[in-house]
Amino acid sequence: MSTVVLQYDNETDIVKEYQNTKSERSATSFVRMYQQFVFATALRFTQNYDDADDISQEVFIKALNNLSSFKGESSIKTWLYRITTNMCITFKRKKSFVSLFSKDDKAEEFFNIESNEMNPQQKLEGEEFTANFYRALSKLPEKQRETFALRYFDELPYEEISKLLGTSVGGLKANYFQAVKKLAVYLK
Amino acid sequence: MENNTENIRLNENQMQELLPDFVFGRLNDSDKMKFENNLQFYPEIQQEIKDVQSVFGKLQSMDIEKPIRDRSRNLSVKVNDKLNKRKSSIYGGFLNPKLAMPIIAILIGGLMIVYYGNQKKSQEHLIADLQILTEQDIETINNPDDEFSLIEESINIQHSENSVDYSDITQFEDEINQITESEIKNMALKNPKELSVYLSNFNQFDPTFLDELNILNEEEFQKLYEELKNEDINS
Repeated sequence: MSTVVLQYDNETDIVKEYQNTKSERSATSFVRMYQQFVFATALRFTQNYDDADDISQEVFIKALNNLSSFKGESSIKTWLYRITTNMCITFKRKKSFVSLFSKDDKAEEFFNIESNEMNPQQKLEGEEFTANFYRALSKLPEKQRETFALRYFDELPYEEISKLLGTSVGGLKANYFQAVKKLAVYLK
Repeated sequence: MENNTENIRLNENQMQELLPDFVFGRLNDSDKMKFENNLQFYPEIQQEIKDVQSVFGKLQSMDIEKPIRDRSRNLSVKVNDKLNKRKSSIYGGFLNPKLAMPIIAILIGGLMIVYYGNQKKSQEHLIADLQILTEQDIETINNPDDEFSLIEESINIQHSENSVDYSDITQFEDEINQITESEIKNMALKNPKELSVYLSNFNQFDPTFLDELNILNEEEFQKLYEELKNEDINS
C-alpha cells in the first residue's frame, strides 16, 4: 500500500505539523497517508464507491477538525477506523430510513461493488478476478471480512485488531482462517 | 530451549490459526518453524495451503487495490476544498442555515432573558415601595372601603352633631318639587292648618307663620304669595 507523502518522515510529524499550523499542505499529507485505508474501509461497509467517497471525505474533515485533541493513546489508523465505521453505521441507518419512503432504483448497485466500474478493459481476466474477489469479500460475515481486510491489506497486528473489533486474538485468528478459506473456495 | 519450542505439538485448530500468516509470509521465525514441523501430521492442512496459495498467489500477482487507489486519489483535494468552504461559511455567519438557526435561537433566548429580567426588576421595585408604606397604608390597600375615610381625614373634614344632614335636604327638595304652585295655594286657602302640618314635617318651618296667614285678606295673601314665589326656599 504505497502512498505519496509530502516531505514528512512519519505520521507523528504530519500530526504535529497540522496541530501547529493547520496548513493545507499538512492536511494533504495526512489525507494521502490514510486515504486508501479509510476509503477501503468505507467501501467494505457501504458496498458503493460514491458512498465510500462521500464518507471518506467526511471522515477526514472530522479527523482534521479533531486532530488537535488527538492524544496518541491509540494509533492514527485505529482512530480513523473507529471514525469511519461509526460514520458508515450512521450512513447506513440514514439510507435505510430514506429507502423506506423512496423506491431505491440503485438497490442493485448497492450490493454490487463492481457494477458501475465494469468497462471493456475490466472484462479482461485479471480485472474480472479482482471484481470477483471484492464480491466474495462483501459476502463474508462482517467480523471475518474486517479481520481479513485489516490483517491482509492493512497489516495490523492482532492486538490492535482485537481492540478495534472487540474480539480475542484467538478468535481473530480463527476468523482470519475462515475468511481465507471461504475466499479460496469462492475464487477457485 | 529453541529446540523445545520448535518441537511443541500443535493441534489442528492451532495449525489453522497459523495457516493464513504462513501462506502470506507473516509468521515470525519461531512460529514458522513450529508450523512447518507440525505440518507433516496434518495432510488436510497441507491441502488447504495449496488451495489458498493457488488463489492468493494469483491475487498477489495482481494489483488488487488499484480500483481503491484510483477512486481515492483525489480525496485530499476534495477534503481541502470542503474544509475551505466550511471555513468561509463559518465566517459568512448568518448565510449558513446550519449556523443561522442556532444563532437566532440564542438571540431570542437572550432577548427573553432581558425582558423577563426587567419585569422581575420592576416587581422588585414595587415590593420595595410597598415596604416603605405604613401599616395603615397597607390596611387601606387591603380594604378599599376605608380609603374614602382616609382621604377625608387627610383633608381635615370634621364631622359634628351640628353639621348639615345632606340626606334630609335632598329629601326636602324632592318633596317640594313634587308640589305644584296651585296645590300650595289651594292648601293655604282651604285649610291653612293642613299646610302648617305639612310644612312642619320639614322641621325648619315656623308654625306662627300660619296664624298670620289666617288674618290676611285675599289681596294681602296674593301679594305675600307672589313674594314667596320669588324667594329661594333654601335660603
